[in-house]
Amino acid sequence: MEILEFLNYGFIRRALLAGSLISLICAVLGVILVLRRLSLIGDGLSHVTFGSVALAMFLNVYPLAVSVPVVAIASLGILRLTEKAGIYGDAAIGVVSSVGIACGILLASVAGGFNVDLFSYLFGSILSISMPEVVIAVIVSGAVLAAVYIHFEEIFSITFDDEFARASGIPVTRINSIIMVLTAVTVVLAMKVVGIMLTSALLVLPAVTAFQNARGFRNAMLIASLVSLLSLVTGIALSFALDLPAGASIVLINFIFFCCAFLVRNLTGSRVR
Amino acid sequence: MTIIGTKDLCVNFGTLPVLSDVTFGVQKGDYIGLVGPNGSGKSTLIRCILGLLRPAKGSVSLFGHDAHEMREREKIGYLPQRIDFFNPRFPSTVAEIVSQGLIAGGRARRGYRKNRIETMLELLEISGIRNRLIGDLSGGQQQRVLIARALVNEPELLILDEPASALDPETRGNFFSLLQDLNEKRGVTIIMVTHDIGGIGEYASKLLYLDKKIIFFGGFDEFCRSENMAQFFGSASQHIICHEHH
Repeated sequence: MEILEFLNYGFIRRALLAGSLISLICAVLGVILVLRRLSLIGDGLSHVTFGSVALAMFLNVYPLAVSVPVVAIASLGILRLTEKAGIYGDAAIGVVSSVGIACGILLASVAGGFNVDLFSYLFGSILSISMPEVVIAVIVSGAVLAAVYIHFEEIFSITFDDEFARASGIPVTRINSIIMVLTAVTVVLAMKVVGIMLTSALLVLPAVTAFQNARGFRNAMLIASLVSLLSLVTGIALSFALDLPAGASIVLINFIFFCCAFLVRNLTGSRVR
Repeated sequence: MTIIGTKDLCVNFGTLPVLSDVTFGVQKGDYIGLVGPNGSGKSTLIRCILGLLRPAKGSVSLFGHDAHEMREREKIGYLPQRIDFFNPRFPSTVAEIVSQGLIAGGRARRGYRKNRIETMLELLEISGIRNRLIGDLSGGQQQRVLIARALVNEPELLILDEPASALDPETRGNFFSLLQDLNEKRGVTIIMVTHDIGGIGEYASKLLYLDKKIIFFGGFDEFCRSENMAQFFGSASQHIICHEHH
């Protein structure tokens, strides 16, 4: 089967395994984040990731070791800003992301520029993913999926009606913190798949595609996951076959799925208001 | 049995006092109409009772526990004030939303959950729209879904923040009859925030008039006889309110 020949390559198999898992958790978290009007958190945190990668290069340490804690703290910072400083999520994301990118630029300037290395993080390089990074992706994906499965009802309740959830005794602050930390780790991993510039797309596009025709919260998560997985596999296959950048291909396939879902919704009249 | 007790409750937003020295008690089986002008602190009081807001001073007890520490949340059914608080594009069905009311109190058996949801859907006459998305419904239908969510866990205390605002007259009548049944036959304690001071007297056993502090707390007949209230509202207004009650 010539069409599956690309699976003979180890780097493709690694990319498919890690990419599938990362795109899956992006889709699941994306449904929650978009419904909570935190769609741009992926964008904001990826800017912080840029700053943290610059810091790692400045310190000459492994980027993930710096990015994960820094971005997790930034993510919790966004949550606390919305809760304590009385500002909306979009403004909190704006504050944190601009600080993140400013730090990155400053560090790059002080270090005299990081040239190609930093550039690879901006646009992603899923095809060059290493085995340890695959292992990290498996562990993080397992943690995200387990957390969402265990707390599914609570997450649904908080996402729909935060005040009712609190009145029902759900530990809203704790669950919100878990979601934000998991989002941060996911964004750092997604940077490897599509790059800092396009991370937000992996969170937002599958979710908004699912919302076009989904008939339930669980149903939305399933559709988003399926769309995300199909986009990842098709994107990597296209990138290999046509020698295109993998990250951009994945995002554009995601967008094509969105256009199809939008057309189906309008042609079938589902969700007409 | 005291279900709710507040003592010298004070809440400030910044330097602005919202509630001052609010002290009252709610006994099992009471049906309280909580009334007052806009900005009088009604919703703030509800949030304190539910343990969602920490008072600057004073205390709130709920079923004998500090409101913040109270764990048996399945005893409480709550309908928040705003109907338009949620994302209208939220991809959730009516049945999914009603099921949220069963979260408090842990994971019930699947059969019990299904049975309770069915009962509530039928009681609120929303069985036919169980698979419709919440955003596709009218305001009145959405309100009925949220009422079903508040009632599904068979609570001992119902806290309703302007529950009838979006209901049509027929549904409103049925809803008030349902509340009366729950109160009289099952001893459910009810606190209802409303602007309909005359209408609430038809159903509630007590009236709590709030305007940052308690202006009046007691039975409706006592309210109608009160000279203080005649002075506060003007005798003509008091007469109109009490006329609607009788």
